[in-house]
Amino acid sequence: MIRLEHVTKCFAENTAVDDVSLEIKAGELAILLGPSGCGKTTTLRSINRMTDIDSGTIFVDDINVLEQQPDELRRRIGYVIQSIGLFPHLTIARNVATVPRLLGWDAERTNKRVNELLEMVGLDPALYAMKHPRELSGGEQQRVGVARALAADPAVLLMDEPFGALDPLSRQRLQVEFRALQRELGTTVVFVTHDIEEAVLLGDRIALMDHGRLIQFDRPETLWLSPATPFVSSFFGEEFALKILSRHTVFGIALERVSPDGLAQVTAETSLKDALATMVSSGRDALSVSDGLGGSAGVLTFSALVHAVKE
Amino acid sequence: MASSSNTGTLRLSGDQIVGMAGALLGALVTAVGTYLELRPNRILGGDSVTAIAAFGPGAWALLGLWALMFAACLPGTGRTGAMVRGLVANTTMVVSVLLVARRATAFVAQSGDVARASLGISFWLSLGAAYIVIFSALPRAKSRNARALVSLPGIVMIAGLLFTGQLNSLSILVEYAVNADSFNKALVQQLSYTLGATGIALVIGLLAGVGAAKNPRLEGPVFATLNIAQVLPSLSFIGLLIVPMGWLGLNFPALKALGVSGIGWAPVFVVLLSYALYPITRNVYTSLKTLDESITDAARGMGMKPIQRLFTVELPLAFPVIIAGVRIAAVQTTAAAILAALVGGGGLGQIVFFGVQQTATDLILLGVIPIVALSLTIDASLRFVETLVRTAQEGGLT
Ligand SMILES: Nc1ncnc2c1ncn2[C@@H]1O[C@H](COP(=O)(O)OP(=O)(O)O)[C@@H](O)[C@H]1O
Ligand SMILES: [Mg+2]
Repeated sequence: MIRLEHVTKCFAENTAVDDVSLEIKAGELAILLGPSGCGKTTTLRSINRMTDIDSGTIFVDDINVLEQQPDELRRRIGYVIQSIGLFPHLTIARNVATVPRLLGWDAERTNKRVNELLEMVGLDPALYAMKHPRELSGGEQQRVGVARALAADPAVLLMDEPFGALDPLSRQRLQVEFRALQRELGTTVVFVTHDIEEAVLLGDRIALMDHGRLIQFDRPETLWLSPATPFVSSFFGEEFALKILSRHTVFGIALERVSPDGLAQVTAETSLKDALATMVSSGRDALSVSDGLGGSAGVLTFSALVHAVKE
Repeated sequence: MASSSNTGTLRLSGDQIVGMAGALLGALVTAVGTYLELRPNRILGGDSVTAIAAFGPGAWALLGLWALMFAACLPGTGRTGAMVRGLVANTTMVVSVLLVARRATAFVAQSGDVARASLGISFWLSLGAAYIVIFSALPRAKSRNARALVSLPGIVMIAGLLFTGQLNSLSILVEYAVNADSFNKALVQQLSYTLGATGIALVIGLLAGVGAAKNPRLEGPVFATLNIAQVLPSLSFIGLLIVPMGWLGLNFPALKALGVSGIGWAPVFVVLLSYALYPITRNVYTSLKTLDESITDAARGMGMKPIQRLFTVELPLAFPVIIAGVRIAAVQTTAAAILAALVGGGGLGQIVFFGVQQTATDLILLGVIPIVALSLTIDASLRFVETLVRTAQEGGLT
């Protein structure tokens, strides 16, 4: 869906992006991760030509972006930034309607779409459509930012630390809701963050960058089990394993048919991280998994948990 | 215990001190100084009378009103005190105007048609004192309506008296009646200077300001040009234009037909236009340059073309600042247009200069007062527009 080939961008003496090649599949949520200043934003902005690259090529949907009108290209690619950038003098409805209006949709279609989008991001249109950005909380504003970017149903969405400025609680809620929305819509997303937790929680694959170079682009599990360089393991740190556990649930792990008596109980939807925490706090190396009908479906042992993740 | 909590309320606040000063000044000029000048004709000097001498018991009523305003400034009167002294100040303005008008009518009836009743310095100072009291009350007025109630009724009622002919026996209005034709012409010229120069400056200023903000190569030349015009003293600027404008008038019949020549309206208009250009261009430029970058970045990222960004995002957000520039330009132009009279360009300055030539103070005032009123009206109404736009953009009255 998105293909970068040998993309390089310099600012004066400083090489911001250094020969980056990567391919993102349709419907994938790809994370650009790395320390501050490693070139994530520059890479992201080269996709919708907000930044012009020095060399290399970029394809979106097999079309070379350099051969397209930047404005037309951008109308087909959603763009969400950390500072949100809502237009303060326009209502929420008008903000969301920005791209549909640019595309010349009629009023009826635009209104219908605006209401649909506001509901999609969890804002009641009756309550929010006619408000101004200043009347909304940071979290609500970024919901509008996401709705605005999705307005013309773009196949590709670019997001630059979209939840970075929110308080931890709203950030977490938006992360979870956004992940579900993205799965449902099947939008291809390139998501910039410097937050490892967020990257591991959201990403199908993570592209780890350092000093403008792409170090490794893989599933988090692969980054954990087969790091390409020592930088990868040192960047993710010792807790990487726990963060990986939070990506998976108990569901799908083979359970043992032994007596669950005296064991703490979890459900199939419990994350492995929480399951592990429950084992630790209950002082046992096994858990009972409920069958959803009040009984036990079987017992999850510590070694089964560890094996499941390593696979 | 009670005394400790009282010391706070017994202290005078700044607005109360200002209000007291205003009330004292009002009382003082009502008691002493020339409130009215009663003269046998336009030229001769006459009796300078105080308010007490002119109105008798009416003057004691005025003094009572000033005392009331003073009392409404006392510690502990708070917001109620402010509203009371504001409203009493308005009342006092209207009452004193009614009193002078009545006295003037009686005097003219008694001393014959050529007799003149002129407003004296104490009368003008008492109006000033009333406004000091009003301004002292404004900060305590909570809502926009309360502020209007404190600041507008007096001036509106006086305007009503003026336009319904109630004040016609005052000398200044006799001057108006005698000079109505030249006054009206001068007023129209004055307005044309202000509106014409500001209007054209708005169009050019928008183009120049947007150009300078969007194209770094234009930035230097635009502001260098404007700065030259800005530092030239107005009279020498007009002088500099005499030769080139005269040349234009002589060589282009179309311009000559419009009245373009070395003197008259044309050089004045060019000077006013260059003065008006500066604040407008600067405000257009600055407002565009200081827009929140995340907003313009988002607009670009959505796929807005430069012209769409300009009209749907940048100019609307810049609008309040641009209006402020227009306001400054219009007020400046109104004041500077007085100079037009020096080179035969007309305007209200003409009336002032006639007054000076004839040593007729009331004629001078007939020129000056409309200029002041015009400036204040322009200033207030454009400030109002600015506030309206800001409030609308921020999503209602919050
Ligand atoms: N417009 C710019 N002008 C000059 N240098 C820039 C510009 N944008 C980014 N850079 C530099 O390029 C490098 C990469 O920046 P960026 O892509 O923003 O990093 P990240 O998003 O990973 O923090 C940094 O060293 C930054 O200082
Ligand atoms: Mg960045």
